[in-house]
Amino acid sequence: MTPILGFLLVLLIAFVTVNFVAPRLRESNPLVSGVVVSGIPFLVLGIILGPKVSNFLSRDILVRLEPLVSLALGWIGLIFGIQLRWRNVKRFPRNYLLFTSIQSLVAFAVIGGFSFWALRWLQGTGGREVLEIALVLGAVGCVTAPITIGRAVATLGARGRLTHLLQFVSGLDGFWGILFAGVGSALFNPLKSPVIHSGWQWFLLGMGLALLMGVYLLYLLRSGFSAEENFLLLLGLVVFVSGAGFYLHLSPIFLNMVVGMVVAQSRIPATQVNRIVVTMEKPLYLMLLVFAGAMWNPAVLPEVGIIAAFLLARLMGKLIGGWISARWIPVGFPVPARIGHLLLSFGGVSLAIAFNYQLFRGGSAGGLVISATIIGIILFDELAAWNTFRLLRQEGEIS
Amino acid sequence: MVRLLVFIALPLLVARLLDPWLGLENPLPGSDAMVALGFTTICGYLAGRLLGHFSLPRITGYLLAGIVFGPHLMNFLSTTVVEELQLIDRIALSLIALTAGGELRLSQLRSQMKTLGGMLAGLILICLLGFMLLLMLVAPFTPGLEALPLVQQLGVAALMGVVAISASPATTIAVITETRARGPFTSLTLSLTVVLDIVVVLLFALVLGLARGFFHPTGALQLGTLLQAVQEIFFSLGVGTLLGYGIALYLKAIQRDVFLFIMGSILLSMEVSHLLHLELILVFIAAGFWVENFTPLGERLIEEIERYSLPVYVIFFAIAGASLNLPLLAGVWLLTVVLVSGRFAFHWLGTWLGGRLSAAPRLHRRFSWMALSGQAGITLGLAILIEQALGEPTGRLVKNLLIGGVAANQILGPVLYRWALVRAGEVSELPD
Repeated sequence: MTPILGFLLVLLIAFVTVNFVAPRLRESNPLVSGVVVSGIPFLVLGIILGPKVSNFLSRDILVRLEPLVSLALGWIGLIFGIQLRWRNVKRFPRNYLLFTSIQSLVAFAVIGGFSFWALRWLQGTGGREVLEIALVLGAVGCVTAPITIGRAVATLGARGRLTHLLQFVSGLDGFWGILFAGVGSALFNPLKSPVIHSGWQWFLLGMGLALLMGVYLLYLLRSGFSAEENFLLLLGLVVFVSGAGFYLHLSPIFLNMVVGMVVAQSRIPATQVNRIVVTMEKPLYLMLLVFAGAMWNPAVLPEVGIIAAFLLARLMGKLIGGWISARWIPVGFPVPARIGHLLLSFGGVSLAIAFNYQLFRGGSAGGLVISATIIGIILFDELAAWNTFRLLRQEGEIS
Repeated sequence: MVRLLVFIALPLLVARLLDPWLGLENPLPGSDAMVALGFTTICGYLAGRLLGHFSLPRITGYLLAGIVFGPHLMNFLSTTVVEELQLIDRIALSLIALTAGGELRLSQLRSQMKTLGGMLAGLILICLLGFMLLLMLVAPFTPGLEALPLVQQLGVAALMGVVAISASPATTIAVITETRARGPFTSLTLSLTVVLDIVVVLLFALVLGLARGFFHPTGALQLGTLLQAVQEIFFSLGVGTLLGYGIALYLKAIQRDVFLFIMGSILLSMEVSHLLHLELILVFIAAGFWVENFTPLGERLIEEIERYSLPVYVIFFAIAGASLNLPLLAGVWLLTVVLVSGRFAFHWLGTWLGGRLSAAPRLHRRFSWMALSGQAGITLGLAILIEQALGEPTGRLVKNLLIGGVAANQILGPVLYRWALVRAGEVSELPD
């Protein structure tokens, strides 16, 4: 049996098993089903199939499937951008956006700062590379995944003001993470060009390209094509923009988020695109999980310390960010100071940012970020589920 | 139309201007393939729409876009990029074959058995003999063939005759999907193309064994060669049936994320086919056929595939267009014109005569040949086998002639078939 055949066989069996098991677990035990639904088995599967364990999924295979990976990253960015429709955001209480941004920015500062300090202290080096890794870790860590609160609503019927706020926060939280990742990829762009001399020029080039392609997509979607045609155009555009991102060493997630944001401001295309993008979200995320697992290089000793520092920093960052927002930003009802416990969920956007960095940088820096993210997903997803279900029950929003 | 042109021009400009302007060194490997794939998907489709305004099939537009953006004109889809996209190309072909199998209905096959048999017999007899005769006539004027002994000329003629019979199920199903054609003519032509695929593989193994004997006395026909071909077909159908059974089981028991499961199954089956030297297209036709005819889930399967079929067709035919070797066609254009015209004439005569003997309706007799006019992957595969079997320089000459013919047939084929479907009155919804 060839490695790729073995990989595909195992992947298919895992896929069928998870799809068979998940619906049967959902009703009985939300915590157990959380593990399955959030995709941790696919992550573990990737680790097992990767070069470090069985080498079924070698680097060669990864390179061959790179267009699919770029599509997955771009798609995640687009999905996020599509949700950022200003008119919809304005419908929520005024301070929700401020609440989200403050806790996210505080978390970013705590995680980035603490990681920077840990990197310098444990590795004994400073400079641009350390700053870049700290910035990426901050971007990865400040994002809250909406999956845990979504599951609380879907399976346990959670409802109430706090649940509503949590849905809003986890829905928009990724914006800052993606933005910081985009800025990071531009500021630390390693490409040499005779016409671009600074990171901010790379950033502006990326923004310009994404805005242009966003307007282009908007006009395409307004041209009266059918749903199938729109799907094709969207697919082509995401691959094109992601490819351009990879070509220019700019985050494809960020570029596609900007494309999505442009489209989102127009009512009819945004609805069409939303309908189309959600059908592809899960398959691409699962694929990303397997690849991330396969690319994972288990950490060596100095990295274990940095990863531990990152995990601690994320816990602290989210708790402090949540506490500051709850304390200082009035949202129309008393928000529990421990809301940070409910914002620990870790998932799609964070993984995509980490994966993107690994593809761009590779080496030990990329490996470190992937390691931190994978361990973070495994730890925080369960912790977040446990906290969310417990605290929402205490707050009387789960009966 | 102007708007479509503008839509095509913008990504083209972005992609064309960005690179020289920035003057980048060492961008990430594979990123240019991604840009090209995204660009081809959008612009290929829009080119197809553009051609729709001239009552031409969209897949011709995808092909032409591939040719224009391909290595011989704009070099946007360079030879390296086309090679990098081979995996995606094969996935697309597998999905198309699965659809083709799902569209074949046993009840219709049974009712058309007589016509199908008659046309197949007519095609094999007339096309093979006619093409051999034509080749023998042009051989004295063809540099490279004129010096061959008569028996070797006969060998080459027989091989090219078999390849001339072959058609492209992918083209047929793509035109059917695009025009949403339904009816007895559509069903007959699809069945004819698919069955022809199997017959050609068998016939080719037989004739190749004979022809090899004319060129290398030690390599005369061995029963093993023929048995191997039979075995390949048998295993392809077997693996395909197993795959169909698996898909049906999943559709029945789980029902979630069906397309993702199909994609996984396709990748797995592609790898199995590669390992066991199976005919990829037959594997997936058999799988689709099984689900359609032996389970009540055929409609569901086709529905799931068709939801995502548009990008599949655009990418497949654009890559096919980019792979066409135009300089080669330019080098042998006169002979290509003769051979392509001859092929069309013998296809027409074969299906007409076969149809007449089997008392097929007049319309079927007149237009069935048009469904067979397109040629693609399988023909290219056979051309490479001929080159390997006959060796230099004859093998290369034959391969070049065949590839030149494929380029012409692939452009003309969809146009003719679409026209035939319209004439048959089975096109339910014409785009544009």
